Amino acid sequence: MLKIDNLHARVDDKEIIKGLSLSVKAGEVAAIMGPNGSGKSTLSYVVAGRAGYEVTDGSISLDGESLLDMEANERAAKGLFLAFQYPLEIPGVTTMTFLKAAMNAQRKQRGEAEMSTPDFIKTVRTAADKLGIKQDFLRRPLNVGFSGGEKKRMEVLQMMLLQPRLAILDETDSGLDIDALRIVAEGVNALRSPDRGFLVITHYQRLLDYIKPDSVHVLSSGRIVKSGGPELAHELERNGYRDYVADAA
Amino acid sequence: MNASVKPPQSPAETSLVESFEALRVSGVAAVQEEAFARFLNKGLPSRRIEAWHYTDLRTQLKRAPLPARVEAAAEAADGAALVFLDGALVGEPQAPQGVSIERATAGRRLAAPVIDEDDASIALARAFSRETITIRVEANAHCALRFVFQNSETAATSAAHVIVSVEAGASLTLIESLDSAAGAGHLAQALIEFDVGEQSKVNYIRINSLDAAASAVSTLGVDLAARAQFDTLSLTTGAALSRHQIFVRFAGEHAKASICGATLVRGRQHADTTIIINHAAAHGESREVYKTIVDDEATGVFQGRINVAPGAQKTDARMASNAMLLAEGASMYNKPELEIFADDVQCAHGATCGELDDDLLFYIMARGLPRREAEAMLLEAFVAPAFDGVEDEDMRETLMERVRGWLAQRK
Amino acid sequence: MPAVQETVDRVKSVDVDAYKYGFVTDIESEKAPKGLNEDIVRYISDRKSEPAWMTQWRLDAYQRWLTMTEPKWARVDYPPIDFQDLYYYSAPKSMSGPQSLDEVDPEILKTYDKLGIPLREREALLGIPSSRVAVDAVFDSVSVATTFKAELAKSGVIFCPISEALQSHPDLVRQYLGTVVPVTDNFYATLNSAVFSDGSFVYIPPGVRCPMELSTYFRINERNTGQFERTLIIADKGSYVSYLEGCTAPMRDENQLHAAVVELIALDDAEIKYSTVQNWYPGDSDGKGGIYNFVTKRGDCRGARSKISWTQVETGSAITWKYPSCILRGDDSRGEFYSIAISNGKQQVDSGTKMLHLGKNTSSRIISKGISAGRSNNTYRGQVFAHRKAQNARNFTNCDSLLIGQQCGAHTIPYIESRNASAVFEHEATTSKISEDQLFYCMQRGLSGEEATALIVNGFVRDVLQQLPMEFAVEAQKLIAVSLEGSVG
Repeated sequence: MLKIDNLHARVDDKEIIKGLSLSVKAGEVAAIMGPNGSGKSTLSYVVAGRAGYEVTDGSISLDGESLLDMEANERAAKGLFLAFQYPLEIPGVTTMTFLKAAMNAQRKQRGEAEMSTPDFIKTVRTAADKLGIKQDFLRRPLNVGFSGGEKKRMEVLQMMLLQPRLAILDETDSGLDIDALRIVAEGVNALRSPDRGFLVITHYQRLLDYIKPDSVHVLSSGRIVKSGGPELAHELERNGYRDYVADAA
Repeated sequence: MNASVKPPQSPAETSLVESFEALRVSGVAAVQEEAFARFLNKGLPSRRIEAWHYTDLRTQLKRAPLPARVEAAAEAADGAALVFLDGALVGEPQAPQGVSIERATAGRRLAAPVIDEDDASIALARAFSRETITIRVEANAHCALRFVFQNSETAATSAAHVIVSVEAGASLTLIESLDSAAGAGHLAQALIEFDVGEQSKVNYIRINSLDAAASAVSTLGVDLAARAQFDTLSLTTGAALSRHQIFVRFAGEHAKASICGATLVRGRQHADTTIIINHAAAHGESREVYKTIVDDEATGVFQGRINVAPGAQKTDARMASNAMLLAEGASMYNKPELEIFADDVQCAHGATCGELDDDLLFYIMARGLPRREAEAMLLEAFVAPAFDGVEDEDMRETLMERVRGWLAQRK
Repeated sequence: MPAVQETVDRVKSVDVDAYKYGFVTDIESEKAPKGLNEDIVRYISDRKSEPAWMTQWRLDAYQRWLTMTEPKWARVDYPPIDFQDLYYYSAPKSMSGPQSLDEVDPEILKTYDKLGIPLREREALLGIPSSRVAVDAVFDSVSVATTFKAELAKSGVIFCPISEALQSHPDLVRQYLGTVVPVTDNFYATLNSAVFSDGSFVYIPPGVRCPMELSTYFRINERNTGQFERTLIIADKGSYVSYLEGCTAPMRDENQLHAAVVELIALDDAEIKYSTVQNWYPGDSDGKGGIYNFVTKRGDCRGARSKISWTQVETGSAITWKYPSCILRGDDSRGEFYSIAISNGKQQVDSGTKMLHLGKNTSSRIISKGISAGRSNNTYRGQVFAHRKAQNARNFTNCDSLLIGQQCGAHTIPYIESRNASAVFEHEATTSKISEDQLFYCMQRGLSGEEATALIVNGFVRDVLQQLPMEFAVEAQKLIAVSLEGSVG
C-alpha cells in the first residue's frame, strides 16, 4: 500500500533522508524506531507533503499512485493521515468546526457527498466517548489550552473520523502518562483492519507494548538499517541504539 | 501647508536666539550655525508635530538661559569618568586600556543615519554642541566608563555631543549620571550616538536626577551591527521638563536590544520618553519595559514605536509600558505603536494605566503597615521588573535604593 | 457551524475578481449640475422641500467648509480630489420622493434583489421570524423604499428617510441633528452637513424595545457621484435598537467619494447596537477605481447607564477613513467597538475608534482585528481618553493584526490618555502571521491552502463575529473568505 523507494530528502539544504526504502502492506502495522535526530519526524513530514521538505530522489506512492506531486491536502484526501507529534493550536476555531471542515473537504475532493449535520454530530460524539473526550472539549477552540495528553487524544479522534487508508503516528506516545497511553492505543487498535496500514514512529518500545507491530524497522542517519519482527523492538529496548548508530556511521 | 504662516517666536525661542548670540561671541563652527538655522526654520516642536504631541516645547519650555562661560581650567576627573560641566568636557580624561577619547570641533556624525535629523530638538542640540567627543572602544576590548553630567549654580543652556564607537567583539559598560545645582533653571541637552559593532555588547545605565528647576532634552541614537547587543536602562526622577528620545536601528541581523526604564515624577514635573525602534534587518530581537509613576499634578508620557521594514523577517519585538497614577491631578499619555511591513514576525505591545490595587493595599495594611509604607511596598514591586535585566546586583540595588528614596519623599 | 463550509464553498466558487456586486443598474437619473457652490446646496435643500432653518444650516456648513482643509494625518495616500468635478445630487428619475413600494422602479427593486436585500415585506415575512429586518434602501442620493414602517409605527418607532423626517418630525431632527458631530467637526463631516441628500432617521420612544432589526442599505450607482448620507438615531430613555448597515457599489474605473455622517444618541438606560458590513467596491488588484470611504460616525451616550456598541466588518473601499466613536458622557455609560478590517490588493485602511470617558464609572471595550494581504496597508488608530472627572473609567483594548504575504503593512497607533488616577486602562496589541505549521496541519487534514487560510482567519476574528446579529455574521464570514481571495500562494 505505502511504498517508499530510495528516498532522499532535504530540509534547508541539509540532506536528512538518505536512500530510505520501506513498504507497508494493507492491514500491517509497521513500527519505525530510531534514536533522536535519525530523521523520524522528517520522514513523516516528507510523506505528508510539508512545504520546505524537498525530495531530491526516489519515490513515495500510496496504492500505486505517486504522492510526490500532490499538495498535503490532496494526500490527505487519498487517505493519508499524520498524527502530529506536536498538534497545533488554532485559536477561535472550535474543534467541531475544524473536524467538519476537514471531513467535508476530503469528501468533496473524493467526489463524495457531505455528511449531514446530525449524522456528523452523532459520529463525533460516539468517537469522543470512546476516547474519553468530554463533549465540552468539542466546543472549545482546537487544541487551545489542551494538555499534551488531550491533544494526542484529539489526534486519534480525528483519525477515527477521517478513516484513513494509511495512518502515520509520529511519536504519539511522547508526553503521555500510562493511562492516556492506554486510551490512545486502544483507539488505534480499534481502527486496525485488513485494508488499513499503520506506520508507528517511536523512540521507545513502550508504545509497542500496546500497539503490537507486525514489523519493526530501525532508522538511523536517514536510512533503514535493520528490519525484523516484533522481537527487534525488544532487542532495542535492551541494548539501545548504539550498535545501529555505529553501523550507520 | 508648507506655505503656512510661521507663528511668532515663543518666549523660549526668543531666548534661544539670544542664547545662541552669546555663544557666537566666543566663536561657533559653521556646522553649528547651519544647525541653528535649521532649528530656526522649524522652531521649537509643538503639539502639532505628531512626535511631540504630548510635549509641547514651544509652550512648555518657558525660557532658555544663556550659555555658561567657557572656563579654561577645571579639576581633573577621577578614574575612567568623563565629567561634563554645563555640557563641556572637563580637563583631559584618562582613557582606560583599549579606549581612545578624541575631542574635535562639533560636526561629526555617525556613518549611518539613525536619529531623525528633521527633529528640531536635535538640530538645537547640534547647534549648542561646541565639540564632539568621540570614544572608541577597540575590537575585543572590555571596559567600563562613566559620564558625569553636572550643571552648576548658574543656569545655562548647554549641549553635549558624544559618539561612542564600540568595535567588533568589544564590550562596554557605561554609567551616566545627570545632576544640577538646586534651583538653577538649566536647559541641558545631550546627543549621544552609539555605533555598536558586530558581536559587541553595550550596557548603558542612565540616571537622571536633575534638580526640579532644570529642563533636559536628550537624544540617544544606536546603530546595531550583526549580532550586537545593546542594553540600556534609564531611571528618571529629575527635571521640571524632560524629553528623552531613543532611536535604535537594527542594521545587522541577529542583533538584540533591551531598552528599559523607570520614570518617577511628582509636583508639576513633565517627563517624556519616546522610543523608535527600527528593525531594518532580519532576526532582530527588541524588548522594552517602561514603568512610570506619576504623583501630584505631574505628567508622564511614553511613546514607543516599533517599525519593521520589509525583509526584516523573524523579528521578535515586544514593548510594555505600565503606568501608575497616584494622585487626582496626575496624567499619563501612552502611545505604543507598531508599524509592520514584514509578515513573518512576532510583535506585541501592551500598555496599562491605573492606580494601586485597593484590595492589595488593604491586605498589607491589615497586616499592620501604615498606608504610605504599604503603598511604597507595592510601588517598589511595580517598578522592579524594569530593572530585571541589570546583571550587576550592586547596580540593581543602587537603582532600587533611589526608587525607595523617591518613594520615601512622598508627602 | 455550517457557515464555515459556506465560506469554504465561496472561496472555491469565486473567480479571480471576487467583487460580485459590481454590476451597474441602467436607469435614468436626475442630477444636479456638476460641482459645488451655494446654488447646489440650495438646490439639494429645495429638492427636499426643506424648512428654511435647514437650508441655512447647510449654507453655514458650506461657508465653514470653504475655510477648511482635508485632514492629512491618516496613513492613506491618494491624489487630490477635485471637489468641483463631482455630482452632489443624483436621484433615479422615476423617484420624486419616498413612495409606496409598488411605485418603486422595477429596475431598482431588481438591483436590491440581486444584492440579496428583500424590499418586499411579503417576501421578507416568508422567512423565519427572527430574520425579519426593516430596510431603508438608499440609492445614490435618495431613499427609494423603507419597509415595515407601518408595523414599526405601532410601537411608536419612527424609521424613515431623514428627508421625510424633516417634513414629518422637524422638531426632533432639529433638536438632535449636529449635536454629536458638530457642523464644524471635520472637513468631510462639514461637507456632508452642506450637501447630505438622504439617509435614515430612527427614533425609539422611551421604554420601547424595537421589535425588529432596522437596517439601511446603501448603494452607489451613478458615475462621478458622491454619496453623502446622514443617519440620525435617537434611543430615548430605556429603549433598545439594533441597526444594521450594508453598502455596495458598481465596479468603476474612477474613484467615487462616500462621505457619510452617522450620529447616535442614547438617553438614560438606552442601548444602541450599530453594525456595519462595508463592502464598497475596493478597486481592482492594481488599485484602479474603488470608493473613498471617508466617514464620521459617532455615538453619544448622553444618558446615565446608556450603552452604544459599534460592530464593523470592513472589507471594501479603496480607502477607508473611519473611526466610529463613543462619547461616554452619562455616568455608568458603556461604549464598545468591535472591528474586523480586511485589506487586500492595494486597499488602504485607516480605521479605529475613540472612547472619550467623561462621566463617572464609564467603561469601554475595543476589540480590533486587522488582516492585511496583497499590497495593502491596514492601520488601527484609536484614542482612549479619561477626563479629569471620569472617576473609575475602565477600558480594555485588544488590537491584533495578521499579515498575509510580504508586501502588505499592518500598523497600530493607539493614543491612551488618562487624566484621572482612578481610571484603569489596559491595552494590548500583537502582530503575527498565519504560521506555516498551522497551515500544514490543516492541509494534512484535507483543507486546501485557501480553505485553511479562511478557516484560520475566521478563527482569528471570531470574537468580533460573535457580536454581529446572526444573519450578518454568516454574511460577514463569507465576505472574509472572498476578500482574501488570491492572497495565498
